Amino acid sequence: MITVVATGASLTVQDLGRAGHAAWGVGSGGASDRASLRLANRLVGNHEGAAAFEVLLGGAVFSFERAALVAVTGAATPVTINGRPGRCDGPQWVPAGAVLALSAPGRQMRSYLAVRGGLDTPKILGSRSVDERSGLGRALRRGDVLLVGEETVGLPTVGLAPRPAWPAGPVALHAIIGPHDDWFTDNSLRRLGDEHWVVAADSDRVGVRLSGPALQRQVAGELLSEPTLRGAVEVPPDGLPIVFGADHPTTCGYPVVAVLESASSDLVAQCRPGQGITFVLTRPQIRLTTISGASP
Amino acid sequence: MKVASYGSEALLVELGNAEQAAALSAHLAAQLPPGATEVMPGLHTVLLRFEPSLTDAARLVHFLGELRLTELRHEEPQRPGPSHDQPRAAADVEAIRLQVDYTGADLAWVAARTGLTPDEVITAHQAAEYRVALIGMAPGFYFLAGGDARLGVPRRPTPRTDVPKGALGLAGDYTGIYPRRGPGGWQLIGRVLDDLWHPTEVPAALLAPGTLVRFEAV
Repeated sequence: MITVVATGASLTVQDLGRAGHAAWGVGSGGASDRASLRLANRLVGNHEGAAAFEVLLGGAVFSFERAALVAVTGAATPVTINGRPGRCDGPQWVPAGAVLALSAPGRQMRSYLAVRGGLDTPKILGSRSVDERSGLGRALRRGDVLLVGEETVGLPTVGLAPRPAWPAGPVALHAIIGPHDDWFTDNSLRRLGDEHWVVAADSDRVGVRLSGPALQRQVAGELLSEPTLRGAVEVPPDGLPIVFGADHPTTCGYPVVAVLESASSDLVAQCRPGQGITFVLTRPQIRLTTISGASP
Repeated sequence: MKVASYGSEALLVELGNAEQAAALSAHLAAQLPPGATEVMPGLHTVLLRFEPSLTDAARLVHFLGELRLTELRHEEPQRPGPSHDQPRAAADVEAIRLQVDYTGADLAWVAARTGLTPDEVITAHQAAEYRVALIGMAPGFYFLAGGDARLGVPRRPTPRTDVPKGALGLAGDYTGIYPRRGPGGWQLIGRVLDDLWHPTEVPAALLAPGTLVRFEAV
């Protein structure tokens, strides 16, 4: 049993989400930074998709009734176990009765704390991920008690996982242009790729909002609601892009100018308000085409 | 039909109308093309997600090019897809009747905008038979097609931050039902009294796409 002693800004249970329910309006959800969740699970010998804690900006404290093997990944947060320094990006023991605390990270947004066996919370529609926007589960509160499951696949094999340093300058996000790039002026599309964007303060798990040179439309009118994905760069009428995050709506009514590559979706979820962003734009494999031969 | 890459792991398919989109969505969900992982329906579109290590957009475009859309509607799904709970259109059934309290915050505005009286708006809204065109945006949010053309109104310029559970709204050619409390920009004319969303059950939404719906004032 693990007891939540403090939650910090936001503490939720996340796994890799619930795919396959979009037709009911239920999005995939899941960890904002999936690569970090997977890494944390691998480091303790869990199934990659086991449920772990997602900690926003540190400040979370946990009391472990039993000894456990844990790993902290994502935003590099100072870890202490019973007041003694722990570490990130490698497995470590938490003795029975010990208190593990995560302080505020120096950069990035979200840390992941995986426990060997995974967190055993109730599944909703096939996943333990909390999606508060959709009313699926709730964020953890002080005093909540969680059980540890048995989602292991083997023994831990790695002592420390190296990972790239967070860039000192703007973060480069790789995106594929379209499908609605033709709604915008050529000049706007050039500026999307050339200029710096800044993560706005009102960003969350639903979307990361960007400020910068507003994109100008060359097509008036409204888009009929379309299905969308995490990483889609939606442009509302004010011209300022929103990059959809884990808890995005399943459909959107504004044109999507580009869609991030999967790794960049993880990266943008770690960008703090004020972080500089650039887009590295690639042409799509299939540009908007009418298929001939199909009827009607 | 038009197709376009949607990032590197999905293909957006745009159809001529909602019927074709629903038919293609049901067909693909029943029998996923090799390498495809999920079919996401839109109003006139279908988004086909795929595993990029197993297939690519060009192969899926080729697969779609072989389909004969006009025949899709007559095909029965052969087997359930991996998403065992994909909604299925309810065929040949009577419309489901939902109880409505027609006292929405925008009823007077809708009346003024359409040149009708509030009572005429309510009468016109009840007279039509609707079809669930899409569940989207938020869990269990229903887009219903088939309303009286006179009731077509734009969304509110600034969305409300707090729309009550069950709120019945108008936007464009659609009637929408908000399954739970939350923000929303549709013009609210009333509130559905039936509970239409059960997140812990499968399926969580009570009305599958294609279901016929009528509204009754209480």
